[in-house]
Amino acid sequence: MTETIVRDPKAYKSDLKPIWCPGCGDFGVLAATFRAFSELGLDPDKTVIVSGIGCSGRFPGFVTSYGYHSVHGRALPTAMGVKMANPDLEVIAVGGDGDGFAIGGGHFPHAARRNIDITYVVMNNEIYGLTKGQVSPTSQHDQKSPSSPFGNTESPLNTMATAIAADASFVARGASFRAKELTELILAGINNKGFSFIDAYSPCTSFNNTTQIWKDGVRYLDESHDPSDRAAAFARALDDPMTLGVYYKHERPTMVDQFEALKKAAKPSTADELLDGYALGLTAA
Amino acid sequence: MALPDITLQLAGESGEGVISGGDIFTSGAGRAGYWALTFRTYPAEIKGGPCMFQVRIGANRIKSIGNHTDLLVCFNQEGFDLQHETVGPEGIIIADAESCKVTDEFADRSFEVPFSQIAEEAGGSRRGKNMVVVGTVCGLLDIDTTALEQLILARYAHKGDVGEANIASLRAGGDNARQNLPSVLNVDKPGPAERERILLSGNQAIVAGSLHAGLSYYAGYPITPASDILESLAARLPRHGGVAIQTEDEIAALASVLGAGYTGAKAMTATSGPGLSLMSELIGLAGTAEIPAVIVDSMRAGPSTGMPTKTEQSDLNQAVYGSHGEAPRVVIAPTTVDDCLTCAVEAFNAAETYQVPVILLSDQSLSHRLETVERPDLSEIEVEDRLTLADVASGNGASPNGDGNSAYPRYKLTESGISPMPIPGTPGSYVSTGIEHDEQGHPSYTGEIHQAMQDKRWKKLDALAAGSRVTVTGAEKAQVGILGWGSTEGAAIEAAELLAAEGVTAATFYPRVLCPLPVDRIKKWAEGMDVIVVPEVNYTGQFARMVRSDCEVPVVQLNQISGRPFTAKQIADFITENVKTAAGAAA
Ligand SMILES: Cc1ncc(C[n+]2csc(CCOP(=O)(O)OP(=O)(O)O)c2C)c(N)n1
Ligand code: SF4
Ligand SMILES: [Mg+2]
Repeated sequence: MTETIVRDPKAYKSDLKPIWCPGCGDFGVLAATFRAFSELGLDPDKTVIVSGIGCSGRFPGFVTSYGYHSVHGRALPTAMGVKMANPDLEVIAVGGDGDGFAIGGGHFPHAARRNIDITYVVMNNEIYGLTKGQVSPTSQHDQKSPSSPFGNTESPLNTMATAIAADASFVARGASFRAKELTELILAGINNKGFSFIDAYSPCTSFNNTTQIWKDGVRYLDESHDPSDRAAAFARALDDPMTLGVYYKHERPTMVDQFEALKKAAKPSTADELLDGYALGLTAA
Repeated sequence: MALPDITLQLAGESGEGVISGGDIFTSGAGRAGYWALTFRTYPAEIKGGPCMFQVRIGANRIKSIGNHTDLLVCFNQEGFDLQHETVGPEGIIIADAESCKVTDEFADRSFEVPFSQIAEEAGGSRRGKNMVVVGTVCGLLDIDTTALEQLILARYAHKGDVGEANIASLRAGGDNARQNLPSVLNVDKPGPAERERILLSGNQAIVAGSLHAGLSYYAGYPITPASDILESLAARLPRHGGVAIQTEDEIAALASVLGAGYTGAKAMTATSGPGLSLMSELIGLAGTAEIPAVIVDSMRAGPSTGMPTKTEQSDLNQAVYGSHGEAPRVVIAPTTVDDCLTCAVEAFNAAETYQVPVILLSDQSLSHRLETVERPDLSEIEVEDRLTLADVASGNGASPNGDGNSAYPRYKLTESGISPMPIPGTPGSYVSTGIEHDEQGHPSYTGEIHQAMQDKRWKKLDALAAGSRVTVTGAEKAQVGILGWGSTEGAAIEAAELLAAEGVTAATFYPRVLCPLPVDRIKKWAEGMDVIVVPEVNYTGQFARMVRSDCEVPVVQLNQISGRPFTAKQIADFITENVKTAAGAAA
């Protein structure tokens, strides 16, 4: 039995002060993460938080665990490399809606398909915060912004439906201002063996202040919803984007499980043995 | 008179066994003691289309593809039409009697052999045509086929009596050659081998080197001519306790390699020019966050999709200067197949020691040529590991974690510029970042910090520049110096030999590490040369420009972009025609 050290949520708070604006939803996501880590007793030296670029991308700096602040859009493949290089680490990827679904959108379905055993939390503010307010892939149709002065001609990506389509192992929506529930979702995501995706509404008070709309609008999935029912999960995802809860769960062998099995089945070898195969047999062995 | 070596070409249609025949001949000749170096062209079509296999064999180590074809075997008319111009003034042609007519100029040095018919009679199937071809070549050159027959049996062990049929075809081809063809070509017989040799390609050598270095994480996206590295590691890495992953693109490949490198693994990706372009941004991250990684670029003819199956040395600028800002990195160029193995280990050693991304620049011709080389003693090729926090004395400023204290000073400014790296899973948590940062890795945008950190990241490479490996041939003073990089070295050394035979003294200088460039040593060597020629398989003379600007050494460029490697004669002829006179005038 390994000893579980009980850590206060504050133990995960680094002495770097978040650069976020007052009221930014990312504070709530950070706090929920501290509480989830505390509940799980995660060791900061055995935990890695990987992010891309954005206001939300600064997240790892505010946590005492190991962190990796990658380039814009590349949190998921980076996290894959971390996890596959050392499967014993707890790996969390975090980022923004632009980071994850615009520039990094090409990685999302593959992380889900591979079933990398990591937890991915997107701080969804339906806007590009760091670059001061341009529309993002989750912005509303007709939404005005500095880059859509006449209204957004594009429709928002349904992230829940996208994740279910890609067969992510755990698909949930939370909100920064529903602290207890978000903590539980992050906890459940980490506990889920496989690729866990949590889209967390996280309002940008400076460039797209949806705080009140979301606080008024969110509701929860029915108790009767069965997350193992993919069709039902789809139906809920298509229903109403402002619904919080666990939409979908599909546990199956993870990428780590499969590669560990491959390694176990393989006959150990060396580079020298590889060279044997190219040898011309010119000298007596 | 026996030649020291001969260059053989097999030319025909893909699907006729041209390449497999060439491969098996090369292995068989290798086992019979001949040294070999191959060159092949690929059909542009996915199935069908003309293809060619070239191999130069001889009693001594082969350095380049050969100046011209000594023996061309045409499987069909197209084979003749496309390849006869490569045949040397004394070269011989053997044409398929059923399908190929040579032109008048070759009438007195060509012979017809009914390959398919001989195959049908001997082995019961016209499909044994390529074995008849191989037998014909062996018969003509008097190469012992014992080893070849064993290879054939092994290759077709699971295919009933196909092996026996192929051997029958091989022997029938040889018998026919000895009985019906004049003894027009002789090559020196090899002496006994002093050391064991291996026959492999540049990419295979890179794979072997990376495994010796301790590779445990590979990620890549298929692209010619690097895909076979992904494929062989996918099969091989589990046996070494590692993983190989085919990613959704090259960005994901390198991003994950950096994630693995940060986590302590020795990690690699391999690609070609288009993929390296996609990786540019992440090369900057690796340089700034100081993450070890190896990126293989097997160069092909660009720009854009270019000529994907043809060789070129046109990614040097991209390797040395690619990525925004000024991102430190190391660029290493192997020159031969065994050097691919050595350089792969050196790439990992540099990545680990200096905590930088290292780009290993191969090219299509080197990656895919088969070359006989002495079997390296791997125990003599040293493997280096990074300096971790766990390695250095305990404590060392590391903060106990979980108490809210500042992170461990991961980017500590040290004398060497190298700071011990904490490995996730062990004490010393910090945030690895591409944002400019202080010693703790905390974001900082002051001019002083930026200066100090760029100094650190660049100056740590000075030690590498001072000690990197260079191969030099010839005297310290020579009329002509050939200065180059990568796979042109063999042709350059041979060109120097050709020049010597004409009374021109020539020397060669090939640095392995092109970034940071060993400027002082290049300058010093250049002082002894009357004229310096830089041969490159590219259009603009990328290395020549680098030498002019960084070393302030004037050089003459020799560029060709035919999609083929240089021959020694091309380099020697250029020098005799253009440079010798200049040198003479200067003297
Ligand atoms: C390759 C690249 N392109 C553009 C940028 C500029 N950039 C930084 S963050 C960002 C978008 C941020 O939006 P989001 O991902 O939603 O994060 P948020 O700031 O809203 O948390 C952009 C476009 C960049 N850093 N890198
Ligand atoms: S700009 Fe928006 S997302 Fe960024 S810190 Fe401020 S409130 Fe948060
Ligand atoms: Mg955003």
